Amino acid sequence: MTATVRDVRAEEPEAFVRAVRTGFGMDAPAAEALEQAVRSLVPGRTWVADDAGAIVATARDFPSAMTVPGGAELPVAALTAVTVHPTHRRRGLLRQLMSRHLDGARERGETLGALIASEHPIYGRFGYGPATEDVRCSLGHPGAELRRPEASAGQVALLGPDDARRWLPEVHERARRRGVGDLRRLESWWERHLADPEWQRDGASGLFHALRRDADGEPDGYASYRIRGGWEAHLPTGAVIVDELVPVTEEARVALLRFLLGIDLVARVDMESMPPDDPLRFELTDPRQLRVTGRVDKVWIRLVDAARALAARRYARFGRVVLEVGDPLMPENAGRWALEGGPDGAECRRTDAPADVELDVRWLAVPYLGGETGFRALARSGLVVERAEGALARADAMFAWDPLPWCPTFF
Amino acid sequence: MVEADGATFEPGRTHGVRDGAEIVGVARAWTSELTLPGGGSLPAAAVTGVGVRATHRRRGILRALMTAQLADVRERGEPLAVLTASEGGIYGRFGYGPATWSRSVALDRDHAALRDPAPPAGRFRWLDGAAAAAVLPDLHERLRTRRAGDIRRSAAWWRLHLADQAAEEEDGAPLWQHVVWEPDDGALGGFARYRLHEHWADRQPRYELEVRSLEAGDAAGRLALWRYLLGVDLVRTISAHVPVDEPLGLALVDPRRLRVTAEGDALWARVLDVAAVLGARAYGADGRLVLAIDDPLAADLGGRYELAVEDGRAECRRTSAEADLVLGAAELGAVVLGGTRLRGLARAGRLEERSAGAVALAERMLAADPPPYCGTDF
Repeated sequence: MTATVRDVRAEEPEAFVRAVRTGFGMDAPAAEALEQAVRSLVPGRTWVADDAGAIVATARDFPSAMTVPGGAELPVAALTAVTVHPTHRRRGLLRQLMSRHLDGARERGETLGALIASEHPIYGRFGYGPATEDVRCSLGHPGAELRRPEASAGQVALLGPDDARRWLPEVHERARRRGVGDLRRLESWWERHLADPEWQRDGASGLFHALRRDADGEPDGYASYRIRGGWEAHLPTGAVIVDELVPVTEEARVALLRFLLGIDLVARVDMESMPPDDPLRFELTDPRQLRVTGRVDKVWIRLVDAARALAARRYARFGRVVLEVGDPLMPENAGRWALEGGPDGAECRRTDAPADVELDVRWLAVPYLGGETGFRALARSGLVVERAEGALARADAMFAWDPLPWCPTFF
Repeated sequence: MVEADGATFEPGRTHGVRDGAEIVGVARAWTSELTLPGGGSLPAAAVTGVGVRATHRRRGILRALMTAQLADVRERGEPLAVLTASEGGIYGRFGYGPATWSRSVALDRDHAALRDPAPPAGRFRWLDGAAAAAVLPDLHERLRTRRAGDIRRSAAWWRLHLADQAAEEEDGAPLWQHVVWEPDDGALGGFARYRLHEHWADRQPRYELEVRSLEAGDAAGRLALWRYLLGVDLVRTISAHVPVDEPLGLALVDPRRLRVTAEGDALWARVLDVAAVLGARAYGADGRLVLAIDDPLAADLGGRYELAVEDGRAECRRTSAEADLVLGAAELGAVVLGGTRLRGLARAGRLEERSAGAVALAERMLAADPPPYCGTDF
């Protein structure tokens, strides 16, 4: 018998959560975590594959929003909890679940889909491409020293649970709107994040939340971190593990760094997710005190409505480029589009003009947010075709953006 | 890198400091050229062999050496000095800035399938040390015009590195191997220098392939050489240092298999003739900027310069006009090849934007594609 893909039923949320955990090879959650997970399911956006009453595959999405270059905020269907159980591989269940997700996004007018991929090769065939990167790095402690002396009159304070719930969501939302590529977080996201279950700590402490206030007492950034203790021969070997550093202002960013670098009894400060254009290296007296330990794709996006997405962002340089887009899954995106845009606005219309650049919609997702991998980089790897000489360089000059996209939100 | 046998020693280019009869500090240079964005080259002093005796620290010996050396470089009319730093905190104060960046990558060969299964048209030639000495110097000299940031490797440099190789191999180290890629389409191709570290576990081969150099004229050449390296038998893991625009990642079926394990500065540049250097390179965009350079070591080099790029042609001359950007010599060294973003330096408080939009304009102008890279250790 084949499994059928359908909406989750009202009596099934707990079974859904357990099936997701099975898909990721994890134990069933404790009662409290189960309840929290159930609360984050959104009705009408949670799907299962049912084989004789058993859930054998899962997926769900939730409504969010993402800031794109220029400041516009686009509605996003954020996909998560995608699993197919090992007993039901290679039967097209993932494809059916992805159709539910993408059809729903199209019907609701959500311009983008977003996800964080467990493995790289899975989602390209559904039109998704990696659009933001995380840099992981480690700073020696003591050792890493800031070049500039303390200059700001603000203060950093550790927050109790109530204050964390009060301030972090609000500060994150302000920080997110300044940047490009981060997602709006639901209340249920914060609830699960701040609950900080033991199993997510990997042997380190629970999360500490440090809120920074400016000279007027206005909160303008926070850092959440864990401490991994350790001693050897009466010397500290542990680390500050920075879960996220979320500044609204440059002053707050530097103040929070200074705070993190000042924490005692550790041998290093590990930053789990830094923006690729973070200037920290250049703020140190010795730039090599910052060791980059990894760099990996983070948020993937899917242009659900490619023309609307392209017209909604701003472009660094005024320019025009004709894109021939391939999109077998969502044919309304396929074809030739004339994109004309600059710092003050953009238009994207169908055209009969000859194509300048030819690419699959998944590769259009990569430079869409203005990240470091542009059209020329894609062409070097053999993924886009330049039909008119100089078109890739022109497109790169248009699409490049400052700041680079970055998404600290894990979902 | 300090060579024990002084193979790249060039007479008249060594400065030393003596305490009585004892030499307590030394700095050397050899005559080279640096490739600029656009493919042109300017004379550059390749600084190496810098050291101060541990008994004579904190007495200003390094400063004296650096000052004398830079004065000598200027006298020779070399507009640039370059080096690779042993530590990151040393050379900034002498006006050197990190100008090119490199990533260390590792990949597991079992998971490194290329998206495009079709091998490119052309041939690979395998070279031993003697054949490499005949072919690689000239090939490298042509390849380095394709990307800013590398230097001309002198005959002495090649002798040293190929001799090193022979000596190491005599000590039982694995053989350095070279492969040259010659595409049918007449493009420049490239070469790779690598060695295999033998390792067996449970009677299974688990060799590590260490790539020392991978130089190609374009991305297609890099990918062809990668295809060769991925095909070497007995190998389990591959490690390499690559430019920040390495095309291999996205050319793999699973790009995450190319793991970035480190990322850091490679070549540090020191500008000694602002007008000559800025006037000689190619730019990513037209524009006009007045740069005020603050040079603590050579005050006469500092001052205001107008850089004007029109239809891709650059002119740079001293000016008394108001500055758009104020930066130090080390910051100029960092951005001069387009490898370090001005925006990052500005956010770190290391350059000052005097007119709105100047950082963004300078960034567009100074950007280099491909980004600069220096594959030469010295």
